[in-house]
Amino acid sequence: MTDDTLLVARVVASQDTGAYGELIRRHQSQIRNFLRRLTRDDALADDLSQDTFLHGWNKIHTYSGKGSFIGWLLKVAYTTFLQSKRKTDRYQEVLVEVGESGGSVSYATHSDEATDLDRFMAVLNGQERAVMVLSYACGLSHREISETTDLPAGTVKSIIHRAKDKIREQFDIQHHQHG
Amino acid sequence: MISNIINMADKTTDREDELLASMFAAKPVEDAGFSERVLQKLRIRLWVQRLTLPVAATIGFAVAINPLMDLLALMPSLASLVPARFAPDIGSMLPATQSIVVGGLLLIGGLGALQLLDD
Repeated sequence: MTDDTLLVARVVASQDTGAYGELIRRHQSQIRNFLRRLTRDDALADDLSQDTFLHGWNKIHTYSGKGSFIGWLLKVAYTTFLQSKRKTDRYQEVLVEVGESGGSVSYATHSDEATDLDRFMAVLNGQERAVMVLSYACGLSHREISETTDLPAGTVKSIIHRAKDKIREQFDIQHHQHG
Repeated sequence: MISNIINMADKTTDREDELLASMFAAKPVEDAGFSERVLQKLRIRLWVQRLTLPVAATIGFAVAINPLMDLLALMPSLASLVPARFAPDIGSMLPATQSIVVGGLLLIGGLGALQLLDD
């Protein structure tokens, strides 16, 4: 059993908030970075991270111990992100229907201070973005990404391949520096 | 020759992967009270969940107490309507109103105490 698994066992057995607090402290950085990469909005990402850990508390009994805890937590974060995005998309549709312009929340559509990475991300669709962030920012294997996103491993590979092709088409990766 | 081409392709991919990884890499995010804020929200939620049932029971009891009292007051007269051979002494079988109120309060107090012990 890993340290994380022991803490999870304590949470499940006795609803130990102290143990869950330790899990939050260990993984908050990775979860917040993942959501910041997806949303490109730090405040929104932190709100979603908070929701992720609250959902995680309710669902922690479903963590079977197979695979890493952070992989499981990233899956909760990704689901939370998708649910929030769906709500925002519906809200935007309503705004368009009633003739108002300019949504209050944007998911990775523009930025005044666009870095190289922002420009890379802008050419990818939501699914490609998530898979690329899980692969290159979180360092997850294809199998772990497959479990996190509920996509078949073959599809994950082809999404990464397609995303890299898109980036290659638009940019000369070899000459880009860290952004 | 073929293996050289494959190796070159692998090297290009590796180099590209490294560059992508360095671009996607992010500095660790400082906690800055984030964990404590989440835990605080969690504790509040847990308290709300734990208090919901006793509070609902207390409100329900407060709402129901008057009609219940009226019903209990009517019981002896209702009992008199039942032929004696079917209900020889219903009035004496019913607990006193005071006992019901005290019992209810003890039950609520007991549930609350159990939850405090659980915490």
